[in-house]
Amino acid sequence: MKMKDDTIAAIATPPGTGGISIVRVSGPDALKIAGQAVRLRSGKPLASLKPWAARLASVVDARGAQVDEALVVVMKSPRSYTGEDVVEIQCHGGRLVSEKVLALLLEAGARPAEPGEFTRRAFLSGRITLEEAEAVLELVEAPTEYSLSQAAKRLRGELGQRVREWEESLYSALAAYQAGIDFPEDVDPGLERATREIERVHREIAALLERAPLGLALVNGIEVCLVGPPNAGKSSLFNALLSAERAIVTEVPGTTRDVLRERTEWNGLPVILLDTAGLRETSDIVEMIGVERAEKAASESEVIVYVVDGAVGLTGADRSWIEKWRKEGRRLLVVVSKADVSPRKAEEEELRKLTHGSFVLASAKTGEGLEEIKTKVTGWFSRGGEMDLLVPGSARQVDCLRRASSSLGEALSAQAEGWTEDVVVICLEEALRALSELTGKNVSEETLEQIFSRFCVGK
Amino acid sequence: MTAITGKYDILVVGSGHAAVEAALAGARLGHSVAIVTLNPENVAGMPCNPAVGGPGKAQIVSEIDALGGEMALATDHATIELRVLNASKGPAVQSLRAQVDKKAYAAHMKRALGDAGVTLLGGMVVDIPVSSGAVRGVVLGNGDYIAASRVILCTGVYLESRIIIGDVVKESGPLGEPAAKGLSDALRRLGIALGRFKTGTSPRIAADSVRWEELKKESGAPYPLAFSFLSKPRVYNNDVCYSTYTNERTHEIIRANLHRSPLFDGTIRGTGPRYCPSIEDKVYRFPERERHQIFLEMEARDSDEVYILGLSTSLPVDVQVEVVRSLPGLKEARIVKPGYAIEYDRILSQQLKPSLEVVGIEGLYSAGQINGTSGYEEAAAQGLMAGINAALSLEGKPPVILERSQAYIGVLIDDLVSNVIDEPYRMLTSRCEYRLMLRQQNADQRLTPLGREIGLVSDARWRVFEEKRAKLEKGRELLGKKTGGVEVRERLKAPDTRLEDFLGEIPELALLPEDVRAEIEIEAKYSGFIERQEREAKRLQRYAGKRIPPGFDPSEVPGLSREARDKLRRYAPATIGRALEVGVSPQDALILLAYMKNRGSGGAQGDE
Repeated sequence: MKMKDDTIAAIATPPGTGGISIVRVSGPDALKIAGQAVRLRSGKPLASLKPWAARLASVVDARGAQVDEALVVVMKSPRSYTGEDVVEIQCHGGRLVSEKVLALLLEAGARPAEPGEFTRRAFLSGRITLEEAEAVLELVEAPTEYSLSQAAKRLRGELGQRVREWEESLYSALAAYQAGIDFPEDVDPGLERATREIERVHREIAALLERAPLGLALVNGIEVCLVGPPNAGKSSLFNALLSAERAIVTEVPGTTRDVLRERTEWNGLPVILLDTAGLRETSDIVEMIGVERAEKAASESEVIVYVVDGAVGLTGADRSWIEKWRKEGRRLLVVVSKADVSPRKAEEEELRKLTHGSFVLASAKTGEGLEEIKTKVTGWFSRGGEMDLLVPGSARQVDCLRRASSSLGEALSAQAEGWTEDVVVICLEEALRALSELTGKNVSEETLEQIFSRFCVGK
Repeated sequence: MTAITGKYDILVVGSGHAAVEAALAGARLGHSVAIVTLNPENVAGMPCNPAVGGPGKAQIVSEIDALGGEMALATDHATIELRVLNASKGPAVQSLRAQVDKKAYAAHMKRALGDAGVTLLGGMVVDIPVSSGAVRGVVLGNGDYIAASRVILCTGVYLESRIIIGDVVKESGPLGEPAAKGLSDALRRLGIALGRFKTGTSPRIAADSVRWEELKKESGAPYPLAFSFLSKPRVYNNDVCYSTYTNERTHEIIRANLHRSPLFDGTIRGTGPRYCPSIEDKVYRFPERERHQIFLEMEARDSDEVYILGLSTSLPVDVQVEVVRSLPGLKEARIVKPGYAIEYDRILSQQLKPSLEVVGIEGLYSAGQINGTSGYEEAAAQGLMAGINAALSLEGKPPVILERSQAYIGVLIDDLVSNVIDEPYRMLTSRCEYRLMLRQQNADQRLTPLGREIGLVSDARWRVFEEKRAKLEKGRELLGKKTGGVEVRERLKAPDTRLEDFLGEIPELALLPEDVRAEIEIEAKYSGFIERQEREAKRLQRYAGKRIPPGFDPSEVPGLSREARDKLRRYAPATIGRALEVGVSPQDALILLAYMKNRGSGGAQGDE
């Protein structure tokens, strides 16, 4: 296979996911470039490694000084994710180390990969179509069993099957309109039926899109951010919700200073749980940065879990944070901590009003309320028990469906408002063009095919 | 070898609708032009129905007019009935259709050719000498050699044509004209691939044998209309169109005789058009239909022949007589000319450049039905463009190539040169993705400045155009005025608001001519949709215009589907846009784009 591409490198693990990060090099010179930064413990050259076997190695800088200890895996073309020669370096520690490793690889001649470039190369390398590439990408990264079954479904093209069915109905509706337009003297197009078809498809796509947040959550994981005043018990909850001792818990307010991120799974959905520094005015410069980061993490996450200190009760600060995020329309769950020890000073009545019922009394110690937290958070994405239904996965698929749905909505309202048929047809064609990005059909040819097979037209 | 018996700048082969526009364009642009045709008496004939326009086609006629062609003027001269189709379906698809006096139409064109100084020659072209890759002229059946450095083939359905009526097959052109023999072989010798198409027409009956009172009269539009931007709109009321329906008896006769139809017994091998099925095909394919509509159209104002629209057939004559006489009002009808199917050779049009020049043979152009199209309008449009481009090339200028977002003619030619045409190609509004931008009524605003630049737009036409443009600008300005605190332009966006509603409040609007008022109303009312189409056109332009390098080898691109590779190899599309049009899937196009981008970063390939 001829590949004229250059060699690219990037950190392949999402930022902030602690433990190990993977730096990936792909391209014709992957072995040569990685070989300059990586020394195998055995002293042998990188190219001698058996494909897919992991070996311990040192990452060294240009002067030969060790930067990190790493596991190295070599994948030879075409049997790799991108189809090219690939070297993966699994380094320890955080962002800083992996950035350093990446910098060494760039120095050695690799080019920083553009966003999505690994995936693009993956489907450039043969075998798979775009939709399959997306599904494969998910399989590789699929965090839970449920995501795996979804990715597998898409790979077999069940979403494609649904889309093709909609497409067929819409082509038949479009053909009805268009036959009446192109052959006004011989056709009674039956537009009422066409309208009913458009309405049905519109409804079905909307129903599927309803589940789009779930699909995206399955692929990316839901970011859930714990925030609240210092010493409210966020870190205890964090550990309890992860079922692991990850955060250091002390009685000293302000113990958690940086943002902690951990992956876990709630009710079959991948979750990325964030623990943050307590929100308060402080003169400690390190803690101040921590507080800023907590706010930023909360504002960027999909779900905010605001922890009220059950031992203290609702404070003025609590009220204003809760109100701020509620006004912004965020998915917000208020948790009153320490339910085991507190005499429930936080008045439930006021809480109910303040949060519109979106609150939980919980205890990290007894486990009270933890399941309720998980169910409430995942409920926003799964809409209660439809977990085995088909969900659209990638952002691109969601985008195509969303555009199709909005064009269909326009077609229907154009018709209801009394716009002329040419406008209805244009909206229908737009919807079909959006769907064709998933199926690859030519709108004009398909329409004609339908007109001539269904209507008796012509002089 | 043979003596040169004449020398012209441009030689047009044929005298139909493509030929006439090609010859007129060439001559009006200042070149010496001759037409060589089998029968110089037969100019711009209408062997099928005596009508011009209809959805998609009317837009083409107006575009020809806007560029300085003749078709709309000839139509207005010869119209005997005029109606608006799709009047209620919106400005994008509204189209004029004229029933014309075919004798008057031909006479107008003949006069125009004479005025432009085009020479009419009789003869059958049997060879096209080419040397050093450039055309040198034509050789006629009698051995005459006429020299020309530009030759435009407009042979219509005449190439090795044969007429089929029932079990009678004879080598002939339409309506008793001879077939063109030998030219097909000459084209093949030049390496041009040919295909075979089929089309057909209906029987003509004697006007005095029809009981008109038993038929429904179809009237034209009760308000004044015209095709050309130069013509004064008129109302026509000539009692020249009537309608009726087939019935169960008609269908029985056809079913009982299907085995005698050359369509069904394998005699006809050429591919026929889906939009122009014969009556036997309609009865066979749609058995649930109890009746099919039939129109009777007079072929001229005082014609003794009547065209039966909707009754195209190649059944044996005795069956045709029975079928016709089963129709209301036609019990005693006499068939003057039976319906027939005709098979003919055509050039596979993907061998043409967008200028309509044949790839690899400098100076040889082809236009009209020879390129696989159907319809007078489609032919005329190609003739006009081939004539313009032949003339421009004589002056060393680049060809004029209309974009899909610029004109229906652009859609037509783009489809022809980049798609596989597997049935006679007729223009339909559904083929045109930007139809809200490409309205019949704004053809002049879209194309007359281009026509002026080319040199085909006369001073008189230019004056009319400029006046209208000024009034349009004035009108658009007036729409900025407010009534009830809101600009009229905005208020017009409600589907049930009409411009007329504001004539009282803004009296200057009432001073504008009606066509101008209609235009600015459409522009304002549909602006949201029009802007969307414009954005889409620009968006597509961005990547569709990306060049695929010549001599590019699709097997070099990993990941392309086999179909995409086949299509890329077969049609060698010049751009990503054309690749999409020959049916390469968006996914494959993406892969192609990514591949070319990577090559580009290596400095091997840039885009235009």
